[in-house]
Amino acid sequence: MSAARWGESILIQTPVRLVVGGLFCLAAYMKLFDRVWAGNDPTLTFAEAIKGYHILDPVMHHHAIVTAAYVIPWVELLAGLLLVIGIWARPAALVSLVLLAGFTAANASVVLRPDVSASCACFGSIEWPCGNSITWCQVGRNAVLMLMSAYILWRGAGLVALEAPGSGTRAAAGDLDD
Amino acid sequence: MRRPTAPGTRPGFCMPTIVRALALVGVAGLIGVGHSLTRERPIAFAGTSAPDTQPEPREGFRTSPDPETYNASRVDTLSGDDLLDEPVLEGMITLREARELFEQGALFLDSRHLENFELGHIEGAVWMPASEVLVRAEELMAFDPATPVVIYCTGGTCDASHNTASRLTTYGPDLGLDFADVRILGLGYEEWERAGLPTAEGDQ
Repeated sequence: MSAARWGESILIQTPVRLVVGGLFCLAAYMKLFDRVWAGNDPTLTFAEAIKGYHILDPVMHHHAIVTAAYVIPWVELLAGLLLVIGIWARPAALVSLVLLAGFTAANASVVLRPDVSASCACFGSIEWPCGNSITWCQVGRNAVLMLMSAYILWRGAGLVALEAPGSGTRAAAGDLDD
Repeated sequence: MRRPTAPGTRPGFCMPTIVRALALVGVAGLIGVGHSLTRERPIAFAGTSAPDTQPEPREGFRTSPDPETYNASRVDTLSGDDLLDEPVLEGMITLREARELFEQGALFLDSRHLENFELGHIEGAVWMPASEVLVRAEELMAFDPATPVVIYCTGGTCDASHNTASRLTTYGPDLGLDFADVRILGLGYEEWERAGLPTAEGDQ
């Protein structure tokens, strides 16, 4: 294992993985449990936020909206946890990349429709550095996170991860083939 | 897609990665289904649930005869009295109707973000996004249930006022919140301000 490989792993791969994974865990936690943002019914609040994007018709696609409100936070939580601990990092990065692509497209569609006023519902009551209303700020923030996810998908978990060589839990195939 | 590799050689990562990603989503989906089973009351949105959960239109008040006449671009160009009778989407009240209710002492609920409320709101309005309704139910119980309630946000397609109305009418009765007359303002706070109607700043 070269010094350069260790350097990249410690200085880039691990921090990037922890940042993306941590942010996904935070986003999931806020959607599931943040009572400051969601009151005593976080799932209903998240479902209302999805409806507020005016992408899905709330009558025709009621079930899709409700299903997304129940499933998206758990997908975020699982992907985030896997990225943080460094197991199945590439699959988790792929999932986070796909999620972020969808979120970015949804945010951009709101920004491009001036008559639509929607809340991001990305990180609950914590929307730093962006405000609650959707602007290009959220689109830019997601774009940066997409780049980071794409990097993990390309380079893998790195050497400081549970699936790293010698950890005894290395994934069977494909997660450290670089 | 790569073929299976012999032991000791570099395996491909495309298929395992995609399969594992799908497995991850599948497990999360199952947890989400389990989560949904713990819910006592199905999720319903204002205007899309059963009619008996919707507020009855108040007699004597009209809404736009043709929802298609609502035009956000035109609304943006209007000010003063020109805004009072501007048509609104079906099921909502016009600015003139809201002004009448304001003069009668109706309770106005601002469902926008707190930062917007602090910058400016309808005079006497209470900040009450949907997420706050059940948390601060006791605060609302101080008002007479016969008091007309007008909920507003940024107007047009803004959902926040509908969400607050939905919580009030669907979940409120269980907590003793039984407002008989809940209305949604078709235009938004900015239009109220441009019409020269009373406003206030700050968190009160």
